[in-house]
Amino acid sequence: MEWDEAGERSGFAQTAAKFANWIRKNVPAQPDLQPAVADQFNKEIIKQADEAGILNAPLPERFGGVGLDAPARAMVLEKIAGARAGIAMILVSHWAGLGALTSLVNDPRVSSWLSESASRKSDLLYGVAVPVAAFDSEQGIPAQAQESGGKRKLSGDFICLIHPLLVKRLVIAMPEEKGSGRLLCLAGKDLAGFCQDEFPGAGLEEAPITRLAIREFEVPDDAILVEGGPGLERVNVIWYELYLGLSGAMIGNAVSAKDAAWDYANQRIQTGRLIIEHQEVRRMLEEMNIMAEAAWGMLVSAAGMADPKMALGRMRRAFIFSGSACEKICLDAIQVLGGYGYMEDYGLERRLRDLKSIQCLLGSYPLEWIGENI
Amino acid sequence: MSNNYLNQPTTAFDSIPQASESNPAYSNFPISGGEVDNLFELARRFPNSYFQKLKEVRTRAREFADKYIRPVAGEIDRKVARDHSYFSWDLMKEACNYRFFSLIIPEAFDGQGAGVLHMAAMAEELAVGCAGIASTIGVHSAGISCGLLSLDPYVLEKYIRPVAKAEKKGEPILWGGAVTEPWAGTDIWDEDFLDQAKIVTFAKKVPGGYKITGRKCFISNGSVARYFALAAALDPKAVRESWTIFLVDARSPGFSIGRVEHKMGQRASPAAELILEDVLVPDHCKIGLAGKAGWYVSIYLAGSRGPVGAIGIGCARRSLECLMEWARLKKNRRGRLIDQQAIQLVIARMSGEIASARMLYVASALACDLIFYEMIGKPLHKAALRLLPKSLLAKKPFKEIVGSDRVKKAADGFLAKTVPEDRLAFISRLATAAKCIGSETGVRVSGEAARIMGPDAFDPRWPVEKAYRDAKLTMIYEGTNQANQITHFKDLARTWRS
Repeated sequence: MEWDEAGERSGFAQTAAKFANWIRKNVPAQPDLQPAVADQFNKEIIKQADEAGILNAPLPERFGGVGLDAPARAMVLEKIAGARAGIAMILVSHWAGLGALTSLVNDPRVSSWLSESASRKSDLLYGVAVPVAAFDSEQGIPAQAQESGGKRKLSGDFICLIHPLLVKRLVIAMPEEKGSGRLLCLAGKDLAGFCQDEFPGAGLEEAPITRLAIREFEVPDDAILVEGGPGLERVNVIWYELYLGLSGAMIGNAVSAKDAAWDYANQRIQTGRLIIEHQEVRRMLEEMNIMAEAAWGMLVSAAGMADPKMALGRMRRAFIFSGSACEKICLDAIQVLGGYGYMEDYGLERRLRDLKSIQCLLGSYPLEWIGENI
Repeated sequence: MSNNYLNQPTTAFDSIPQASESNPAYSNFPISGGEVDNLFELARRFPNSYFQKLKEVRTRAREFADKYIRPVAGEIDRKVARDHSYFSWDLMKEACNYRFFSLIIPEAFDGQGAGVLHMAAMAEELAVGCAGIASTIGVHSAGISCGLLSLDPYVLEKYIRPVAKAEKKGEPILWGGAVTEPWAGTDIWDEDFLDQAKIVTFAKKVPGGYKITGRKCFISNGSVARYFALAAALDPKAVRESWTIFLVDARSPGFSIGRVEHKMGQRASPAAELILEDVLVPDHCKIGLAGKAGWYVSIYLAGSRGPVGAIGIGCARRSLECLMEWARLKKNRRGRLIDQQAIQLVIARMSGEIASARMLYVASALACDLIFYEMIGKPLHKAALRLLPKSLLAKKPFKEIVGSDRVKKAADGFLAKTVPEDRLAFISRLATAAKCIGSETGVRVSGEAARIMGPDAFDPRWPVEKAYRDAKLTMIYEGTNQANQITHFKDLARTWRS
């Protein structure tokens, strides 16, 4: 999307665009590889993001960031997803972790971790894990931390937006009954043993999304950051960041698909004329514009809200709408290209696969509508 | 870019002849439901055995899908993702036992004499297992149907009977259809646009046959089929007038396979580029008369588009099955998901969409089958074909007689009488609708099911995500849905009486 605001955000839009161009040039598209496993992860991406000042940009200045606000975060992710949605997903996870920790900056533990972020270079420090939707499976169990023999033990099925081995700390969000929640921060390497197969998504090859089946993990005392009512507030920060990041990534992905369809329509000749001259193709392209702008408008409007409770509701709606709108855009973009859209050449089939993976990541859509996932 | 696109209508409604004036049977209130009466009339003309066969084919296809396709569909999808040239010949050999490859071959030529409805029902059941496998077998049947359109007993004897014979030995011989070209997609499928199409495949008359040079792309079964019904023009300056179908053997010198495509879905069905460099095709492999390919393709599409809709419906069915099973197993704090309204109503809506889309392909296939039934399905015709001695069919003088333009002209006249313009428009209108609605139902239902199931849609136990990728292709092949809608409108205009 075009960013016409003057000032700092506009400057950062250029930084993000530059990083996106670097991705386009240097990160090969590898369709249909298994999602990047931890030891195949391209760490150069993180290094470049750090050098561009993007990696820790949402952090306050005293921790080495620029305090990137929510609309600007959405904009950066939109631009990066336009190049490769999987890479945007890595940042979504990192930034959701940063967001939750920044809200607890008065905690000395958190403050020291964030200071560490400022001093370290080119390391992906944080990731988040959220319970697999809000429902139980026939084999799985809901997320819970129970007291047993004077020790707290964590069990549950989680979706982790990054492989635990790739992050130093993993922030775990656990919404609980009756308006309370719990935020834990665990060392990534300690949880590596609970990794199931990596998320067998059909897209997002660069993002090592992982399912965690944690069973009776003994939680160190200092790992519980916050509990109860304040805990839920911090858990909601993670949901807010995920909704914001995933919406931005979906929109960026879809806008790229739309642009590719536009370019193709201006080159391909059928029935003796450019296909852009066919009324139906023009209608489809314009509908894509409308959908993308509507989704973007909802996202930016939600991102600009100050009240956290209201903002979360708006952000959830923006996420739901972005999912529908961007899916329509990707499907129609493929349709404009016909057979070529379905093949790997123009990259549109990958856009749709990425989109569907992002859209399905957090859980069930009708339950999302009625707020049952939270 | 010129700005006068608004002044270039795709079709001029008023300029289309109202062909139905002479035959009101196919034009009775095309959008107000009078055609339902026609369909009931059509259905009454078929013998009971036609409907018994439908049930039998459906049961057979379901068994094959459950027993052989479902256990390996995910694995094939993953294998092809890594190696585009992989093709599951083992599954095809197993399919021989179920006799899918001879389904629409006339009984007189060792086939089963089934029709488009049987083919569509088979495609739906197979697509519930894997849409790629359904496409492979469906495309094969569609290719054979092009050969049947020649109405040439010699072609049937030499090229189509061996398919049925090999099948009995467990050796699949696959067919395909080759029309699409790198620079001509939508326009090559519609006779009205042929003159504007930038085609590159041309045939040149030489003593004893034709030499074909050119390229075809996105050809389903391209890398695995033995025979192709391939369209080429004889005269670059008059493409429409010289657009002709040839039967091409993939083992001919000069024939080669180009790139095997990496596809988003339906990976079990390979799509490949065909490269033809002076491929010699004997005279008798020219299907029907030269310059008639546009019309033959219209008849072929009237038969093949319904089954494409059926494949979309198969994808939708698989997704709905998965969703229901998933919702039965999963629960949240309110209890099982299947017991909750938010899920129940979505399932009800999907089930309704599937049922209504299915009725469309049944209608279009019934209408189409009547053509084949009238041509070769009536008891008298069947007996005549059976009585033709096989030894005579393979003889050279017979080949020369039936291959002569005089006989081909007579066959063409018979075809024209059996499929008059308004009847074709009636069938084609139903077929394009069945294709569009079936494919859209496939994408919508599987997309929605994936969203409901969230990350579980990617669990190999519930291959909803695969069904979604597979379903999308049904919106594209056999003409994009938009191209189908253009055809639908023209057919509607042809039969419209205000």
